[in-house]
Amino acid sequence: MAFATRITATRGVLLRLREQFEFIKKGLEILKMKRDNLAGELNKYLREVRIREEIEKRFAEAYEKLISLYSLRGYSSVHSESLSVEEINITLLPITVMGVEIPRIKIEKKPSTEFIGSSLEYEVAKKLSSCVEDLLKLTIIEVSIERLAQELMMTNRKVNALEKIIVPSYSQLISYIEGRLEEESLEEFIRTRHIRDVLRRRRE
Amino acid sequence: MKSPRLLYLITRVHGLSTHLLNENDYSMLASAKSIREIAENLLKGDYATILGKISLEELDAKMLERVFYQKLIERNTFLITLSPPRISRFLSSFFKRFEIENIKRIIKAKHGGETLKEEELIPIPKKYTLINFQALLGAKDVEETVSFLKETEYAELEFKYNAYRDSGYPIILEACLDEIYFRNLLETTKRLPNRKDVESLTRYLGEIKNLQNIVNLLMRKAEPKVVSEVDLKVRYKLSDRRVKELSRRTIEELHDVMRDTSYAEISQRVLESYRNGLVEDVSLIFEQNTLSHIIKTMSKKTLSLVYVLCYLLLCECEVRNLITVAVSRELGLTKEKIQERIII
Repeated sequence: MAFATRITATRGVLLRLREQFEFIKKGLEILKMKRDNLAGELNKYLREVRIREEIEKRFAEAYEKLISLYSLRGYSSVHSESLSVEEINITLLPITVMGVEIPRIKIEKKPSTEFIGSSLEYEVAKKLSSCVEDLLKLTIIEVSIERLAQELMMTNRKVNALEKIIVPSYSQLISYIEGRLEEESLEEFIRTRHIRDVLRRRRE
Repeated sequence: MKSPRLLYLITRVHGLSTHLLNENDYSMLASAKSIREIAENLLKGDYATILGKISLEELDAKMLERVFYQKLIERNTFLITLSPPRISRFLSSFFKRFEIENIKRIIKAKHGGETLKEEELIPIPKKYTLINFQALLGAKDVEETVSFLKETEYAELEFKYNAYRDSGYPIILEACLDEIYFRNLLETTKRLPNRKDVESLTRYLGEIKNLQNIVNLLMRKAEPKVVSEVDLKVRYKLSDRRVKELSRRTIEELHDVMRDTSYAEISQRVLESYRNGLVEDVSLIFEQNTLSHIIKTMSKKTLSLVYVLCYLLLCECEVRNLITVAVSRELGLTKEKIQERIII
């Protein structure tokens, strides 16, 4: 209680400290709620991130098919076929969860694989295109997890600091001032009684 | 009685066909450890003239692909210059397949709203083409590309443009180009020696291409209207009625339609591959069938003009195999996998 020595123990200070203490307790309550909500959101995303394994497997399959296509048709032919596919068009929509900005992706236009004439090229393009869509979903999940985890860590630190340091210090400080004020008032009471006794004795 | 110039041409082609790579060569190339090793092996043969000018240090499969196409063009143009006028006209018509391939590539790029560079086209000497590829590459969309071709032999593309626009399938325009190509090619066969042989091989090539296009679209479950739009109308063994019926059916019914035709075996194998999800095998089945037909024709018609055509088709097949070897090696495929994909 190092800062207690620097504080003047007056009733005004005590009232101000009590107000601050109430505010800190409310803040702590809100931060705890935020922490619980963030943990809930994080848990939700952690369940979703399990699709990574499946996406990786599908991507590996699609890549194998692509290699097969390249080896059968050659680079120039596959490249020329790929040019007929219009590119994917996406929009990023930022959404705020408990003050954390989490991106959402809206696919405005999917790659136009449906117009590829050759079935082999079509098959590979379809597989790759669906993998890209899933990869985008996975990216969003992973980015969200990263940002939520970061925010959770920060909130946790704040809660810990409030719970373990600030709240006990304020509590101690308030008790100290209360004690001091009580002592002072007792002192004052005794002094008053002493003066009253002296004055009474003089009158007699 | 054959003309001495024709006999000379055929004899020359017999000699040239011995330069083509055989099974052992492919096996050796497939077991090469790197692109450089493939190039070094090819330096012993016909490809040395082009490969000798390139530094092997910076060689990759993409560059090799270009070298192979260059050699293929050289082989074609060599025979065009060597042949008597009528045959030369026919071979020039046959050579247009590369011009068409380039137009197809440009159309596909324009369809996707992308730009294509000239280096990405098959290198055709200016002497052998009337198409201004620079202008086509600069066209802003498919419509402008088609309008640029209005003054050429591909003017008909304009009539197919609406069907393409409505369906969105560039294969409709590609099929139109193929149809023009085969029609012109058949036209030039009219006054050729051994006309029947050449015509029947040309019709076979057209029919197999047509069948391949239709099967591809059926496998993709395209609408019957689109399937009927890609019909090349080049017939060999199949009747109009059967092709029309095929375009109305599903892929599962392919064998039912083709059961009593000379393509029964192909249709059976295609269906099996489709059911097993081996789409890559479907194109191999068609390519394998075409090669067998060419080899059969070559062995039967050794002194016919069709032998020259078969040789040129074998050259194409060689390029296809070499591209497979080079690209597969670069992508790290095993020798066994590479050999599975080679058509011999």
